Amino acid sequence: MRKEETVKLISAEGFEFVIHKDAAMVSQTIRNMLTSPGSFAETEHGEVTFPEISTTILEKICKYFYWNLQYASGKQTEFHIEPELVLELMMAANYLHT
Amino acid sequence: MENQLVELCLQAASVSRDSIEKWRRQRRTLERLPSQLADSLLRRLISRRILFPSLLELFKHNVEELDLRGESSVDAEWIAYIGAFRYLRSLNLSDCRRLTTSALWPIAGLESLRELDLSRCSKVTDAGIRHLLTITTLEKLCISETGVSANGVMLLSSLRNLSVLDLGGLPVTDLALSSLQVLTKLQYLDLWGSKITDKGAAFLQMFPNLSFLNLAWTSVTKLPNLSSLECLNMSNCTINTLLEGDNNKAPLTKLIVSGATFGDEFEAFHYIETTFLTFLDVSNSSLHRFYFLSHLNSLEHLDLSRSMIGDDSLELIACIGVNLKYLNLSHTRVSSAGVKTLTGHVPNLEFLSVSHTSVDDVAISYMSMMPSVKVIDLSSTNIKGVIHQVGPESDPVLSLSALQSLQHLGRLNLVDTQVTEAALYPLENLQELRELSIKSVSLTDISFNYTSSMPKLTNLRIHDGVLTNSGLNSYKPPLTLRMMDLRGCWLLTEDAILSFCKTHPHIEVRHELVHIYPSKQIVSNSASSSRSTLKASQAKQKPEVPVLPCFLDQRLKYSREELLALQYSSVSCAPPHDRDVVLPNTQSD
Amino acid sequence: MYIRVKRSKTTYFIQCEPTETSLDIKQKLHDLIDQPVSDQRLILVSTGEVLEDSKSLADLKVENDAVVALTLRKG
Repeated sequence: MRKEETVKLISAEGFEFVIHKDAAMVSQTIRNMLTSPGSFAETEHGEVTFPEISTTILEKICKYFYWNLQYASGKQTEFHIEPELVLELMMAANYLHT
Repeated sequence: MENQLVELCLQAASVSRDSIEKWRRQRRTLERLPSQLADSLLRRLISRRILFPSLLELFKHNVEELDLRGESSVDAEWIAYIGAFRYLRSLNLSDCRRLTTSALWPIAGLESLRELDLSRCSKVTDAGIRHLLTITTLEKLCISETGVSANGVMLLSSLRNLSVLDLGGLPVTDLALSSLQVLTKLQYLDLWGSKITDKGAAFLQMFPNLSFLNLAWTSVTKLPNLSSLECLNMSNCTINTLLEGDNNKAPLTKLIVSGATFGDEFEAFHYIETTFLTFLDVSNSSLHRFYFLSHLNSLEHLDLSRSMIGDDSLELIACIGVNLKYLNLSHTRVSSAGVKTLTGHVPNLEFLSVSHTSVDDVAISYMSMMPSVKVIDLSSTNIKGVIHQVGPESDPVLSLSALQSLQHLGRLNLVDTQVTEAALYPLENLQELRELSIKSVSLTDISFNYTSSMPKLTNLRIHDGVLTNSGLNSYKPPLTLRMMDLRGCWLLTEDAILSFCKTHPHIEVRHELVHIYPSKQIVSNSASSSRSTLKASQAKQKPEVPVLPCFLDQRLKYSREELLALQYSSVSCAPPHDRDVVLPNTQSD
Repeated sequence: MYIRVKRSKTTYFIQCEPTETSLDIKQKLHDLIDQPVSDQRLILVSTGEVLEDSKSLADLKVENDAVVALTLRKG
């Protein structure tokens, strides 16, 4: 995996998650950011900051991206969501269109 | 799959009451929840039947739309909580049978409410209407089949913003209707089963924007011209004249007069502007002359079932057939000769029913010349599937083979015909067929084989056949099959059906002995998820809930102390505010 | 599968297979952080075990979604 193939997602608290672009594109919102050059400053640096999304939720989102890729490729496992996280996660998922 | 994670979250949030307990104390988060998510979550809790009244309190800051229709548990306690939903725009309480008039009073405080449905809440009476009169913002009100009387209806005249009013099944009198004339914004008025007479019908001209009117089951015989009327239902009325008047003819697009008795067909249809009429239902009516049809050039949907129409009048339909998509001729005197009249004149016809007619196999070849047909209903006809040629040496012709020329045929009903198994053979080649229904005591295991090669078949009904366990066992259903209805196949045993279900878990099987639903997929409730997707796209226009500087509680106007006490006692049972659960940070360095 | 390699405030999601070795993971990290493989040390967080270069992830009981800490030799 080359550095150019990754994106860095940054949480409200400044924690960083480096994931493959394919995984990040599971989110329609991030896909739009990455595929419409010039319209988002984030695209240049391969970094997107989410001041509204906490570290715990952002990490869960990244896990979901990878689960989604596996699921789409036929490996059908359950994606467990702790009931404590559902509200925050639902809001983030809604924002990210994923 | 769009927003799959949102869907997974909704599922995880509504697994059980225990899972609710895990998130319900996150007050601040709940308050920030966008309204379309709050609506979806609440709807999910309702459909999972794990919503209880005090939980409603959590949603008072963001829910805009609440659909509780048919919830038998909804009572005064529920409504007391709902009364605090300050942004509620639409509330559906139809079929909440326990709702009483006194339970309704907290609704009076819903300042943002635009739409309210109380249909079939039979315990709601005139006094209940009084609670609603403070909500002057109401635009849509449905109170059909409630306990409201004509006097209660008269009270509605103060709700000046009403554009949709459903008073179906209420004893609305001419006098009550005249008192509603101030509601000049009305576009939709449902008065079926009311006590309106011709005198009251004359008042309808006072509603300048009326586009939908239902007068079914009333004693109205003369309807005056209504200049903006687009949709009219006068089924089961005795009709003398419709829309009589010279100026600004009603731009009628849809007319339903099923079960109506006509004084004089010529008079009845004479005044109607026919240019825009696309939908006509004259089923079960007393019409016996059909000349008026010849003017209906825009017609797309025509229901003549159980009418007096016969082969001689089908020429009239042929003349206006160019736009026709739906034609129902079931339970009529129409025969194959009549179907022949239509061939070549109905290029866009998609639905054709000749069920319960004397139509026979000859008609199938005529139908095969209707290029757009998607649905054919031949049930209870004289169809045999075979035409015996005249002459000693000619082989019988399989009439169903003519259907192979129909590129779009998706649904075929052969229930209660005399079709024999051998005659079904041509069905094998119907590439687009999705639904097939057959009912005949002569069907054996061989009929299964014909369906194996249909590439798109999803629903298969074989009723009353002599299908055997071994036939079912060796059946290779098409991959697309989702539902198989084998009722009346009396030789099948429970064990054999269960074993079939085990081998084909995605197929829902119906039989008297078992009824098995397909195994749950990851997104089990596709209907509700598509509904929430639709809602989500609608809600995008206004993502944030407006924040009012202060909220004036309308309920203070009332002196129902016992209900106030009830509400506050239940609030105190709820968990204290602003105690978000602190989430452990799983971050490790 | 993937594993989560954490260092300070950064988490790297690394796609891998159970048959790959610890060294393979270090090579992937090298592409991302420009630190020589020899300077990297990986520790399975759930057990505290230091991952040997030559062993496969399966042998090391590193499963899907496992958290691995990365430390760097000061140089």
